[in-house]
Amino acid sequence: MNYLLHILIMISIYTILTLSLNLPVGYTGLLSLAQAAFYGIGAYAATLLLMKAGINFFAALAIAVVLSATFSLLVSYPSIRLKGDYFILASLSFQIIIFTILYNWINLTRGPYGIPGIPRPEILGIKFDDLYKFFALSGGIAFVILLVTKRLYSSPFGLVLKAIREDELSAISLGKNIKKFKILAFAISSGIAAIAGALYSAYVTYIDPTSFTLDESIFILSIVLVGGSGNLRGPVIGTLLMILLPEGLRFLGIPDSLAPNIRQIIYALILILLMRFRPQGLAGEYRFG
Amino acid sequence: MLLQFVFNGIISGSLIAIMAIGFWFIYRAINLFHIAHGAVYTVSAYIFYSLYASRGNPLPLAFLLSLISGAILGLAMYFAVYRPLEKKSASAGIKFISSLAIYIFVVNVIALIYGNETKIFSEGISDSLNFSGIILTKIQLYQFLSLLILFILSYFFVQGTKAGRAIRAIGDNPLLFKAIGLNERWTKGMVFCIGSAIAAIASILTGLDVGIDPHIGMFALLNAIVAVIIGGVKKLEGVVLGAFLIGIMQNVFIWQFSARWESAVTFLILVIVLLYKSGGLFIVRRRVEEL
Repeated sequence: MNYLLHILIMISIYTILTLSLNLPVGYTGLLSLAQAAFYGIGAYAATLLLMKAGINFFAALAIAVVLSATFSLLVSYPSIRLKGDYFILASLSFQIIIFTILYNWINLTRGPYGIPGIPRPEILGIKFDDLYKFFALSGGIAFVILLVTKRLYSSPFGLVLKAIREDELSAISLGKNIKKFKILAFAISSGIAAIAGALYSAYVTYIDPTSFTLDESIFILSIVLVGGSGNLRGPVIGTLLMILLPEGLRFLGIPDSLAPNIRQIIYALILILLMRFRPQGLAGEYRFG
Repeated sequence: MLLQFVFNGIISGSLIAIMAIGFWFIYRAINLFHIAHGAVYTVSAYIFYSLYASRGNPLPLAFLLSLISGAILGLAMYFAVYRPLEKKSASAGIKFISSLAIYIFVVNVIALIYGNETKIFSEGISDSLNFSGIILTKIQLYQFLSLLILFILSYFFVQGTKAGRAIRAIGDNPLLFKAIGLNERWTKGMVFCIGSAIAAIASILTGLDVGIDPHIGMFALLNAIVAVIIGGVKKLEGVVLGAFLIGIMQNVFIWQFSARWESAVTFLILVIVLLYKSGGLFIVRRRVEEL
């Protein structure tokens, strides 16, 4: 049962992450390789506020969201000027820079040693310290974010983002302030990613920079691309598939030493085949041009 | 002291430059962000390792065979993955992701076969030369000389031969290239062969010096991409200058501060160049009539 709950909690955290990335990727049409950086900023900001400043988890979470949204300016600003490959490269640079900071600013983050002993969240006398309660928390937050993003996607805001994705010039000619929309999309996206980060740190009770690498960003993007982007179903289906697949492999009896490599090989193959035959992913809407 | 670090910078810049020249050939001709180029780099080094370090074949033979296998691998990637995507006129994003996926695929296959730990090509410390206080190892000298030869050959190939002009032509105007009846498939295939073989040279020279592990390719590739972009995509000279600039800058930075922030600084420069000088640092603006 604990195993099942663990998987459910991971699914809820990754659902939040992929829904967040869905906004720039599926709606604005910008492939970003920086999501793990925002995930990491959220995790570290919440943890440090919680442990060093002694703020309640939920207040720390809120501050982490604001902080991460502020950092997103460093990605949304390039997105205004750069297109295609160059934007991907700029987001990748941001990812690497943030990772380097998390890894090397030892006074603040303890670098490679990581931060152990992160307390579980607590509010109004309820402590989310066992797996059931934690799943109620993470699943609940994921569900709320699902509803919020659903509303967001069908709102006028979501429609303008789609217009930018399909034809930036037309959106400009309709008098839409593209800069503002891109900045907002990234701010919301990275704010949501920070929520996932805070939840992750509180769940695992230990963080170190290796959870927030470029590889992690690639993984999050792969989930969105495999499931498909531009609607709600895509990222959710992608998350279910990509989180459950390695668990399935475990039952096939592949030795633990080989499992990570085999998992990556399977992900990569799925991605190559999808890009070739079904660029919108399994259940997505956006076909990347 | 400064001089020693500048020299180290020139040496590591040479390695970056070799990789960057290979990447440049492909990028110049078909405007593709060939992330899987990093995988070609890794595979060629491992093939060299198998042939030379573990089977004991003579170095020149192992070198040549690794180059050929690198070229074949690059060619296979083009015809198996990129060309079908080109035919569907897939967007840059799709090609980028496909390329990244090929990279992940190949690197993990390598890790499955050879394991994740570092492989050293030869035991012992290589001979070093002392030029009035500046110490260089022999292999570092070879790295620099290889770049010199490679650059001269590539430069004359690109500027002076018909095939070289075809590479520039197809990059400048792919539609016109086809319209006047030049062989597009042949030129693109050639570009992949040349670029991939050059990646093999870069990885073998690196491997002989510090050894290899399955994940070195990404690091080498990212440095090369930074060199190509800050040097300016159009000209080969710019790419090499860009590589030296990064190499020297990284080494002087390591000397002054610490190695830990090296990649942050490299990528910060990349972002600044992308945003404010997207044509590269060494591109001189010219009047239209001069082009």
